[in-house]
Amino acid sequence: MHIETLERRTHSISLTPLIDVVFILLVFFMLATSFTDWRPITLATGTSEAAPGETPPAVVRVDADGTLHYNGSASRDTRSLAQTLNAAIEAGDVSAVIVQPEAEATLDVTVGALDALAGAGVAPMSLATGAKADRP
Amino acid sequence: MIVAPPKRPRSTEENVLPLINIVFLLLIFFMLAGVLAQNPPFELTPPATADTEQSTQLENQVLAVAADGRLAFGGKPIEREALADALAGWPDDKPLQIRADGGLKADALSGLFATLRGAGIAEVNLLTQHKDP
Repeated sequence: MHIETLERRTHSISLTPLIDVVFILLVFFMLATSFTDWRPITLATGTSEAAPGETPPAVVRVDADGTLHYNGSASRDTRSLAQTLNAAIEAGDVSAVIVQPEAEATLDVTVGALDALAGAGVAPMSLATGAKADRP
Repeated sequence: MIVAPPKRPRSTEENVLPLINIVFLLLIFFMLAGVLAQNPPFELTPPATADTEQSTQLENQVLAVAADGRLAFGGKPIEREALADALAGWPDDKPLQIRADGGLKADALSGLFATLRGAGIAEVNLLTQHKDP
């Protein structure tokens, strides 16, 4: 009778198919993942209603070409406008700053104004949306 | 004279082991560090900011808005009327992330915000990309 001796297999599993699969996974994840650094601007969808009797907010209108209108004067100098607004907030004349884009103003322009004013230290600030009736 | 014994030629599998190690590390890095991008079915260029310091990563469900007002939620196009249904289970304390094109007009944005308000979304995060001035 021939008894087969249990031969110990010396070679391990072939690695090549494993490497193939790992390479495919690697390429998939490299292409499908995004590392974009997003900066969020938090906005309220509804205009927060100030209680009656409180100090009114300052409204800064934004033109389609990016000009800022505040108190009847137009300017493109966000830094000096931010100083004016900050002084008004500190003096208690206004409670907050509302940025109100005109209907034709694009998001680029609006966000630019929000960003510039926020960067110059104006807070609290919000974006007016929807309320077209009270546009001066 | 002592002659070193001829080295046993290493098998190719042994040679690629360091390569496999690196590839595995890269794979795990990309799996853990990145977020699977859900690109909307249209081109959009988000607005640029320079002074916003806060930073965030994309969530799984992002509302994308094209310049002409087309919407996509979670990478799939969606009609504005269907938005309220899609957002019905959205938690109150989590702001909805919006990827809007920079060319979107303000009245279109306010219309969208009105729809979102009707869908019970009180706060949104408008996503912008950082650009040094």
